[in-house]
Amino acid sequence: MNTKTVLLALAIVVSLPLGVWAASKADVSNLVGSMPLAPSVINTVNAGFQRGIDDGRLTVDEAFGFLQRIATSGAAIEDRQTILLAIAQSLLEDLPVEMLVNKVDEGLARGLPLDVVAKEIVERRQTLIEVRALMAQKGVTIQQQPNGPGFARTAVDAAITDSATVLESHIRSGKKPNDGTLLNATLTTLQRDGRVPSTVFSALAGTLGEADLARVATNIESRI
Amino acid sequence: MNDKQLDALLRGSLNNDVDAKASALEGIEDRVCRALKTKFERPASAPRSWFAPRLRLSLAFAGTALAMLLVGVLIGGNAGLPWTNGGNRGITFVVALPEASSVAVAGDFNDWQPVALKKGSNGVWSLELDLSPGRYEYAFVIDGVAWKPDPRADEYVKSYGFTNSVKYVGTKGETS
Repeated sequence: MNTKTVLLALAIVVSLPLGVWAASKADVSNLVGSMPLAPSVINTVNAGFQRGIDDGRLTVDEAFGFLQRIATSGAAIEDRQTILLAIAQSLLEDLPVEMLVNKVDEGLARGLPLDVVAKEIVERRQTLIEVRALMAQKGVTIQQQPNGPGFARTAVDAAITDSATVLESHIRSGKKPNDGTLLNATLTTLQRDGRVPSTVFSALAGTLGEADLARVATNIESRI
Repeated sequence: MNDKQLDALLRGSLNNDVDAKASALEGIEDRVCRALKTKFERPASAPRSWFAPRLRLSLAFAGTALAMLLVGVLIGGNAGLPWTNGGNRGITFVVALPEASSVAVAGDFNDWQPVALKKGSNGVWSLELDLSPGRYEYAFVIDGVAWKPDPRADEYVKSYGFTNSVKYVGTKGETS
């Protein structure tokens, strides 16, 4: 065994646990391109996922793994396209996609028809849009410049995701939007989630009202 | 020559031999040290070598491994080091199901890909996972087919018409 072989073997042994051979952004792009989607859809999906990777909402591995699960799902291409576009558009619009990705993965794992999953993803994306608008009204936005107004992206994304999840779960559990429990449920969840800092929690606790949340919940009820 | 005379002659001869060899050994340590010093002494201009050749080779291998490690970290990007977990904490999932032949947990934390729990005494299944702070929905998968909620969950929600368990992981890793 010569020196080069030894060094190569050493490099592989050392680097494998560190993920050196993990997917790259090019792999993500190639995977999207390999799906039988219209060129315009491929471009949008690629742009969305690349942006999500660049701003840290998804790691390359998460993006690649998710796309791979969609690509190999065997579902109708129309349903896969609906899901991919909903998530890519969300990434392009600066929305958090954690809830959407998780719901797709859960649907796939439970063996649900992808058209059912796609319908739910489209609906939940609308909820995220409405919750983000509500957060913005209350002063909880992503900080665009150092020392500027706003909060860290991870904190805002967590607050949006948690609030949207509470409202979705509430309605999907058969409860009414105006039963007077939404504010308490939302604040409790935000407080328990270790990703939401006290500054964001305080900003919302002082401004968020039951009526604000009931309005979004009513919209969810009308969509499902 | 009788036996006594012969014995005295042999003893005298042996003593002479031993004395001669003993005198030859006098100062041998100093002589060996001087000889070694002359043979291996470095020229005054030669740089000081800190380590013996074999040790240097070992250090070269260690240095290569360290360099590979650093390259791995840089290229691996988000993979992180295996012995760090970014503030994650071990969260243990436990469920008592003596009759089950397999129990797995699937949730937001593992892309809903079931991971097997280990069966302990009295039919108690458990698994510890490193989770970062956050809110996680999950379910137990019993015998590979039945999806069931965790009786010890923090709360429960409906998803796709099924009941999901929810676990909160705080900033210090504790469940609330």
